[in-house]
Amino acid sequence: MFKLAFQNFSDSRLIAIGFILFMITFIGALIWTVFVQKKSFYDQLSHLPLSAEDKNEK
Amino acid sequence: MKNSIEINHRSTSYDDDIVRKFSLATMVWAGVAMLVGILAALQLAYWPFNGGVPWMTFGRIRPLHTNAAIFAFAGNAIFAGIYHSTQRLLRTRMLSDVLSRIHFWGWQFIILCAAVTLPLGFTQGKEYAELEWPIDILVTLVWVVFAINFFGTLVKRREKHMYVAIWFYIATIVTVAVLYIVNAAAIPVSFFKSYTVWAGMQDALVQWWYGHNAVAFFLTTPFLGLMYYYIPKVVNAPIYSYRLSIIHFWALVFIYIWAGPHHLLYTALPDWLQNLGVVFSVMLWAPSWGGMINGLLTFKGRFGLVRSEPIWKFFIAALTFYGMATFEGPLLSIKSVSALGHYTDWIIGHVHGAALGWNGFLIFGMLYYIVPLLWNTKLYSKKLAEQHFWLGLTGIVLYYVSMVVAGITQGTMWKATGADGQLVYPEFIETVTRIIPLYWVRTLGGILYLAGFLVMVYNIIKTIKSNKEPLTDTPISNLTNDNIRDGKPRLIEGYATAFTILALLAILVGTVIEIYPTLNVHKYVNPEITTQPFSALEQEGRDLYVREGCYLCHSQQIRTLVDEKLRYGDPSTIEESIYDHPYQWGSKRTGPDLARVGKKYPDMWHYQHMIDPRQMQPKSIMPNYAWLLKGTIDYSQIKKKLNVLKNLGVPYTAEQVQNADVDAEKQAQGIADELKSQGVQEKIDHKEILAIIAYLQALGQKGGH
Ligand code: HEC
Repeated sequence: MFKLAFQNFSDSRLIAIGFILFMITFIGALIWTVFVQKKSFYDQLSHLPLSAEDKNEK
Repeated sequence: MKNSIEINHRSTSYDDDIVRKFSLATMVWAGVAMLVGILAALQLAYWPFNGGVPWMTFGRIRPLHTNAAIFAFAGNAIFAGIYHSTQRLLRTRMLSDVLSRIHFWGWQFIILCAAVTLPLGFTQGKEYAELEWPIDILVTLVWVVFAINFFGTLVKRREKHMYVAIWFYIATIVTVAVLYIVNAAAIPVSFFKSYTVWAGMQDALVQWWYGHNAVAFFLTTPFLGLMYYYIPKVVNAPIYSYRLSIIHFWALVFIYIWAGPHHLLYTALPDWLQNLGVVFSVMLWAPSWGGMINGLLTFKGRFGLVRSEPIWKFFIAALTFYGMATFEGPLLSIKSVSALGHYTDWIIGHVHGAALGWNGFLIFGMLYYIVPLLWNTKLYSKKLAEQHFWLGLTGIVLYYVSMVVAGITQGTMWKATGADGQLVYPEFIETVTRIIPLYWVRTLGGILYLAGFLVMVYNIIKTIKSNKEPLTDTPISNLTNDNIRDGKPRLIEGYATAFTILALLAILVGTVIEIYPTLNVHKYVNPEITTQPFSALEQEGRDLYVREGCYLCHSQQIRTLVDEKLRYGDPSTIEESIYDHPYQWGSKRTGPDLARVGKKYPDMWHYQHMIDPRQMQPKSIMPNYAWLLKGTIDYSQIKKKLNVLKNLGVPYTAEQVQNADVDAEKQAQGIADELKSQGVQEKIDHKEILAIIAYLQALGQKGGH
């Protein structure tokens, strides 16, 4: 099965389609991060490192 | 009774001991890496600094320097930072103290093996992937131990949200595993010798897919994870924009993996792959700068404090060097810039700006921050840290500027053509002697950087000594505040497995699209052109060429550029190196290209040149290889070698394999007799130098173009 898939893989149209799907996923993730997700949630996450865990931290 | 207290203590505290161990190891190996670097730099300025000792010559210690800097210095620092920050971010101890210690001692053992085998000349002949196969197996095993320990810790975490630093660590662990295993795949001939399964153009592409992503996923993503943890810690404020850090992460994971071919512009690599590499490299600029700005803006409103906080200076300078290097990288990937910069010292300047400035300074900043915490004390002297900073910075600037100037000078000299259309500097050595003064400046830069580091070592030892109490583990605060089962929904960053699979997919897609087509290498090869494999003796000479690290000063790849054609001959073709395991295209021309050196000179010339290059070229900086006159060719291995190569697809006949030792001996005798007839007095029968000469004379003479 793998061999068959790989044989088709040298088809440049398939490479192009795979590539475009890949970029759409990426750009979709960007849009989601920038426009959809709420800022308050990120604020909460960004404070994760700041709880004083070490004894002699300021 | 005691046992149960012990166990209880373990589950309620962080394992700080392992972080202390990795921190100390970082400092030990940093010293080794820098010292060997300075020795290598000295030899380029004045070659006799190799002391005439085989294991001290440039070609042997350069791999030691790069491996020590990457895997020992940066590697131990990454592990220190990951073990320290991961436990705190996930509010749990590492999965297993035993695994942590196997990881630590295993890694130190690997480094020791590397430090012994590389100077002895045991190498696979691929940059940053030189280690021979038994050590490769050890690396893989230890990496698996690390992965189990890390992912096990993710599973038992008390904090359901994974902070962005953890994402960077995950990407590092999965990607490095894939890169390392694919690139190091080899068939052993003996315990100390193997041939990579890849050949020629394919090997070049796999190597730079690996090489570039070693930079990306060993020297960038883990350091970004550390940056996103330690900068908020030292500033005591959250990262400027968490949103930007997420974009930074996904952009790097999606884009970096494609950029490898920018190391192979104008070579025999198919054009579409070269262009793909360029486009993605240029794209990298944006997210990298986003990350740098994000880090720098975290200091916003507090820049006034920087003057009195030397540790902040290290972080700010590290980010600035990250920005410089990630601007310069895409610039160097543009084809016309690469035409000038590639093979020159500009690239050496580029990597040291990144390694000393970005990686080194981030590590120092981190150590200054965590050592006092781990030893429950205060930093001994801020003033010394301040001095370290300025010494180090001056060192980097001297190093960087001298190398960029040397690179551009030599690059333009190589390219210079006169009114008659001929090369202005046909003698390669002229372009070398011109930049020797800059090699001295570079060495001085390295010494200053090392001096600064030694100041730090003193400061850290004093700091550690100032703690008089027994060392304990830090207790986990808020033990009961476990939000894992709070029933509230979580996003993708709350699901470790799904997240890891996504990251892995992102890098695999790029890998498959880029590498798979070259596995169909026959599509790019002209069936009309035939290439002969090397004879048994020539192959033996090739193995010596790899052993001595000649590829670290000589390329074997003539690019499709006019000046290269004038200087070296027709551009290299895919067919010419199609049976080369490993490829030896090289990445730096401290000496001239050798792809077509065969038959350029008589055997006698090479004989004298190898023993003492200054006999033929008075100003040469190439080392003497007099020991090739002492070493005897090991005919007993040749059959086995040819057999392995035959199994890898090199078209040797059964007869050629069967008679390999006899054939090699015959050819060697022929060369020896010829040399003797021209007056050579030394005992040269069966000596290694004969094999090297045979190999050099075969370069460019095997068809394929
Ligand atoms: C430190 C860098 C360095 C190393 C390592 C090195 N060389 Fe060289 N090599 C040079 C330089 C510089 C020149 C040009 C000056 C000269 O001809 O000696 C050169 C020239 C040559 C030439 C002559 C090329 C020509 O076209 O004139 C040959 C052949 C050669 N080297 C072979 C080797 C071999 C084989 C090894 C490994 C055993 C080796 N070199 C290792 C720097 C190096």
